[in-house]
Amino acid sequence: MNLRDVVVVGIGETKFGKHTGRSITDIGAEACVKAIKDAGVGHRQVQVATGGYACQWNAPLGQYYALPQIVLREIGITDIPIMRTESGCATGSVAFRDVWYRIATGEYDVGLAFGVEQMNVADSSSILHQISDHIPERDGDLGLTAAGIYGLMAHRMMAQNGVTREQLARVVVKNRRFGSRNPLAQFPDPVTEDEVLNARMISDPLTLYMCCGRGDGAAAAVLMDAATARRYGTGHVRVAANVLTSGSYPDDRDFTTFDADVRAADQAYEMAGLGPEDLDIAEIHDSFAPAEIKHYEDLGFCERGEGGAFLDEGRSDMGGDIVVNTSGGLLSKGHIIGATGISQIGELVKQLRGAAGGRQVEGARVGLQHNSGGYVHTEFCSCAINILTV
Amino acid sequence: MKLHDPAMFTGNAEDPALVGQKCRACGKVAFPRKRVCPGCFGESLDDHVLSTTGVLHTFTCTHVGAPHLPSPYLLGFVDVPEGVRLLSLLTDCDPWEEVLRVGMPMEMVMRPLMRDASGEDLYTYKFRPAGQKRTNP
Repeated sequence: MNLRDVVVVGIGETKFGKHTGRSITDIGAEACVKAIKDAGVGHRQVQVATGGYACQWNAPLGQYYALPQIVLREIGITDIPIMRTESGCATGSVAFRDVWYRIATGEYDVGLAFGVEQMNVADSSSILHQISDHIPERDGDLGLTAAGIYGLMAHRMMAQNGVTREQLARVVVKNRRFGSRNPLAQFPDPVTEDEVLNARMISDPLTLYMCCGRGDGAAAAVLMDAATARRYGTGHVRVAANVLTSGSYPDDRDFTTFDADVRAADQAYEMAGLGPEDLDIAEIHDSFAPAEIKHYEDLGFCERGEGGAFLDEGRSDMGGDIVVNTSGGLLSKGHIIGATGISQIGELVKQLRGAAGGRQVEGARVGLQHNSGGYVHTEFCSCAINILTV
Repeated sequence: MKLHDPAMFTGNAEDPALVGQKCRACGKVAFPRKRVCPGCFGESLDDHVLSTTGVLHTFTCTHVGAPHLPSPYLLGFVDVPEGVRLLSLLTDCDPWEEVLRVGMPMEMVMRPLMRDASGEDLYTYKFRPAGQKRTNP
């Protein structure tokens, strides 16, 4: 299929953190207003919109009815087709993909994607119950948690590839240092390796700081086809590749790699006509510290088994081959489920515009965004990747 | 012995075995039993009992976990010879830091997982290092 060039024209985010005094509708609306203003487009020019949120965290029903339509009504975006996405932790990326696809295929010229979540209304045990009982293997009843998944991964990495607890801690040190330069991050303080290693154990070998926090927030993006975009805004960023795939859930693969991530990365590089050697920056799904090391390998940033060395040699840090998670990542921002994917895209847009302030990667021209969502049996349910260029 | 999830088991009530399915057309083994073969969509499926021994692929000790389980608890992936990777609670392996090793042989036991509304124990499979004596309830 011939797809049109699509560009990101505007981005908007709330601060990630506690917004308990507000409605989820208001949080979503704040990000959408910011993105529309950033794009310099009239709100009535938006022809299509998709909003993502994973869950209604404080109620047994689990879902809000028609939340995207209700958010957009608050800011006068009415009378257009509006969709909702849910794909676990990749919810925001799937909303972005939905709008990208509708523009790339020529159905619409101007669209708005947003993701929002309000998680501080629920306690942790009700969140665990949200995740479990539809899975035939009964993972939730057997005690699997998100941190448990990565505890399992980390012990396999340690045995198989010689990854150390110290390396896991250094992922956090790097990302929290970047996060301290991002005013939107929820956890603004840098941490030391000792602080990370000595923090409370969550799921061995993962300590508290190796696990992302949760919270409230929203992120939004305005997309247009390249021809239409010439009339609006500045600092356009091209979507050179957009890929979404789902897991294959193998029984026989080493639990240090996910097939969906490898496949999605291959497809994205092919679609963009670029390779990992062309990347300057990346925002990748560091929900737990071992994930970032795994992703270095699965996304082709380094050879298999070399993720720990890639970190230690500073190749993912400022001045390195591919500067990873300059936003501070999920480890600094918190993982605001529905908002995360579009927030990652927002960071790449800021970097590629040269507007990332104290964490700017000089001369950044190509960035990769990676977002994992949902988990069953042995793998994530969704993997979304975007490659953005200027 | 009241089972936590009877759909996973076959055999008599005192000595249940994990059961999946094997597809007559393509030979794929799946667990738990499914509506069709996820490999070839075939519908000719035979019950396939899983071995009670396997290999520990990896493990973790969860300190902040599911509210119905006393923390900390041990979880692992155990690969059984039929080609199925089982998520399993691990038991009888104190001190786990010294006992558990990636790649070690494991064996299945039946243990209580949680209680039903009337307070009766619900049993499920757990794995322990092969030959280990019972030390946990």
